[in-house]
Amino acid sequence: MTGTDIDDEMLMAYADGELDEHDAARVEAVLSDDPSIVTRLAVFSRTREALVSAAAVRRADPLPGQVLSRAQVAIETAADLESDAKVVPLARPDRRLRFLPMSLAASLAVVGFLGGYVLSPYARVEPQDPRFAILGTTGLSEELDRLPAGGRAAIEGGEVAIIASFRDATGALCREFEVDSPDATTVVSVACRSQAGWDPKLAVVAPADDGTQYAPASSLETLDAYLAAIGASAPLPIEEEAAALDDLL
Amino acid sequence: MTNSFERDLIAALPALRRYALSLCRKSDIADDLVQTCVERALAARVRYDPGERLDPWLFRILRNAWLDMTRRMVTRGTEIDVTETPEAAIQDGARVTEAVLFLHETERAMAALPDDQREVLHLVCFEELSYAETAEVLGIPKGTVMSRLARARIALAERLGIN
Repeated sequence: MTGTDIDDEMLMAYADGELDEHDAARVEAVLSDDPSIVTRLAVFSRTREALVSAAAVRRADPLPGQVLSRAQVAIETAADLESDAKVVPLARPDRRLRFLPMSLAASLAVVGFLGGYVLSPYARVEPQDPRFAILGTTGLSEELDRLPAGGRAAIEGGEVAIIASFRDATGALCREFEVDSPDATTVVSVACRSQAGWDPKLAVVAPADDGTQYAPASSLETLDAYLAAIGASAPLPIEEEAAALDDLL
Repeated sequence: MTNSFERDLIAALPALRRYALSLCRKSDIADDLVQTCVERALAARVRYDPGERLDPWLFRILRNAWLDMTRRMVTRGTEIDVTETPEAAIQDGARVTEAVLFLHETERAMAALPDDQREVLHLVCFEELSYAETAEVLGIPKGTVMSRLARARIALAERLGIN
């Protein structure tokens, strides 16, 4: 074999330690016989050295503090959601379990209905109820357009956290989310996207969790019953969710 | 209650930020990309196979986030300014050494490469991913990684006067 039998990619793979023993031996056999191939190999071994030493300098770059602190907040938020899911004492479909918020605590009140569909024995509250108005909060619909599941953002008068995205039986994109207000009220909602924007479908008010209350199975079944009634799909994987959000733009 | 996934995620932040900078070349956008990647990784962690390396899995998520972001920018007609150079690596005057000068020269040469070539170069030579891992991150065949990488290295050698 001669140097012309060995192409650039093979030489590069040799320089990068990517060849198996057999192919590496082939390259080495030619290297000792053909000085021209040493020159060709040098292009790859020396560019690798240059890049590895450049990378070593870059590794010394300090990580900006806000990158670390934002990541830590995201990790804590995710850990909270995760541990909350674990304390919910009920057998429910796997589709939402790991997203389940602790704030779905006792004494839930259903405040919104789809077409008068009665979901639970809880008292019905008319749409002008101030708690329902949270769905018109400035900035909320923009965040529904933008945030991935698990994301949080500040909106007027509180914070929104996206729990999951799914599609209803008609294929409309729906998002389950909660809005936390400074008065310790948490509203868990489902909104689906239409031509006109985000239509609120269901809102459940839950008192903010004080660590002593656990969600009764029946309150969660309310949400499940609703999701089953609209033919909700399983939560969209992040890639599909991202594509669905892109389609809104 | 930090577990190993979370520890490894934190440990990967510098590499994620370097990769983000190599993609978007603006530090504020890079920071946002890293954050989006972290959030998506946490949301998708049940799909992470602990038997595989975390970095390539994270790089793939970060790259998808970047593609999403660029699609949105194109949709909104926002121009991405790619002229900003990465911030200087080291501020300490005493340490402005030959290595740093060579770093800048190398980065300028990399910046002049086509995006697809620069990207394989970064993943293989900066982040030391294998060809197979790089192919996985980029969603392209390993042979394509090798041909892009070889072209990138030859072009870089010419620019840096290596031959």
